[in-house]
Amino acid sequence: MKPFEEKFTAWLDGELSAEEARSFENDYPSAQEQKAQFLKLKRLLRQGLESRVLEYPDFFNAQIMAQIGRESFPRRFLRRGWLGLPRIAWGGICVSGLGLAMFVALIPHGDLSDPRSGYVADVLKTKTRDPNVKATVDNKKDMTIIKIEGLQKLPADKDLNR
Amino acid sequence: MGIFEASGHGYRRQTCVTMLFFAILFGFLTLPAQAAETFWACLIYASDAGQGSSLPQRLSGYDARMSSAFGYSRFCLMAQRQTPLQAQKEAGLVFSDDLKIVLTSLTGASDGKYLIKLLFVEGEQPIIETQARVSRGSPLFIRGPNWRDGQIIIVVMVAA
Repeated sequence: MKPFEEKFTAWLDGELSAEEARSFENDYPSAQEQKAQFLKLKRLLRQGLESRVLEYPDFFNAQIMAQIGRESFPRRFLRRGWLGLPRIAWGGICVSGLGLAMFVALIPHGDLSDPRSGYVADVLKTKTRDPNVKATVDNKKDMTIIKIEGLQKLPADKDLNR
Repeated sequence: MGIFEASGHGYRRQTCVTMLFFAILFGFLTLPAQAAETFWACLIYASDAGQGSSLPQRLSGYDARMSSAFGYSRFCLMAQRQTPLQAQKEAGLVFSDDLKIVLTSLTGASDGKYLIKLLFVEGEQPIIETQARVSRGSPLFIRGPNWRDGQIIIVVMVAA
C-alpha cells in the first residue's frame, strides 16, 4: 500500500489511473483545493524564473571571472603574497638555523658526564708579601695547587667552623 | 575584496607575533646557560685522623686526587662561603674571622674563561697575591697553614 505522500504526489502529477484518482479524491476531498494552490504556485514560478537573454554574455562572463580572480584570496596570497608558502618555509629554516647557532654558541660544551673534563686553573703569577712565606705552584692536568710554605701554625683551639 | 585584504594583514600580523613569541621563548630557554656567577670558597681540614671524608658537593670526585696530591687520607669540610660576582667590585669571603680570600679582579676572556686576581689575607696581613686563568667550575687549591694534626686547604672557584 502506497503512503499518502507518494499517492498525493502521483495524483498531482496525474500519474494515478482513473480509478485510483477517483478513489483518492473521495478519500481526501480537500486535495482539490491544495492542487489548485499548487498549480497557481507553479504558474507563478514559471513566470518569475523565465531565463533572460544577456546582451553581451562574453563580457558578463569575463567580468564575473575577473571578480572571482580578484577575490580568490587564499590561493593568490599563498602564491605571491609577502608571506607565501615558500617564504614561510624558508623563514622556518632560517629561524631553526638561528636557534641552532645560538644553542651552539651559548650552551657550554664539554663532556658533561665528567665534571673535571673542562678543568682550567692556570696560575699565571703568584707573589708573597711576607719574605718568610714562599709560594710554589703545582700545575697538574686537572688540579692546580698553590703551596704556601712558611706560614705559622694555627692555634689548635681556633674555631675554623665559623 | 576589502575583507580579504584585511584578512591578509591579520595573517601577517599573526605570523609576526608568533615568530616574536618563539624568539622570546627561546631567549628565556637559554637564560639558564647565562646564569650569574658566584665566587665560592671553602676551608678543608686535611688529616690522617679518623675515617671518611666530607667534601662539599662542588668537589665531589676530587677526594682520591686530593689524597694523592696532599698526602692526607681524610678531608673534612670546615666551612664554605659564596657571594655573587658583580662587575668592578671586590668579592671577599671571610673564614673564622681572620682568614680571608678576596677576589680583587675578574675579567671574562673571549674563550669563556676568567682572568682572576686573588688575595689571601690572614688577620690584617696579606699573605699571597695570585693571578690565574680559570674556567667556571674549576677549583683552585691553596695549601694553607698547619692546624692540629693536619693542614688547612683553601679551595676557590668561580661557580654558577
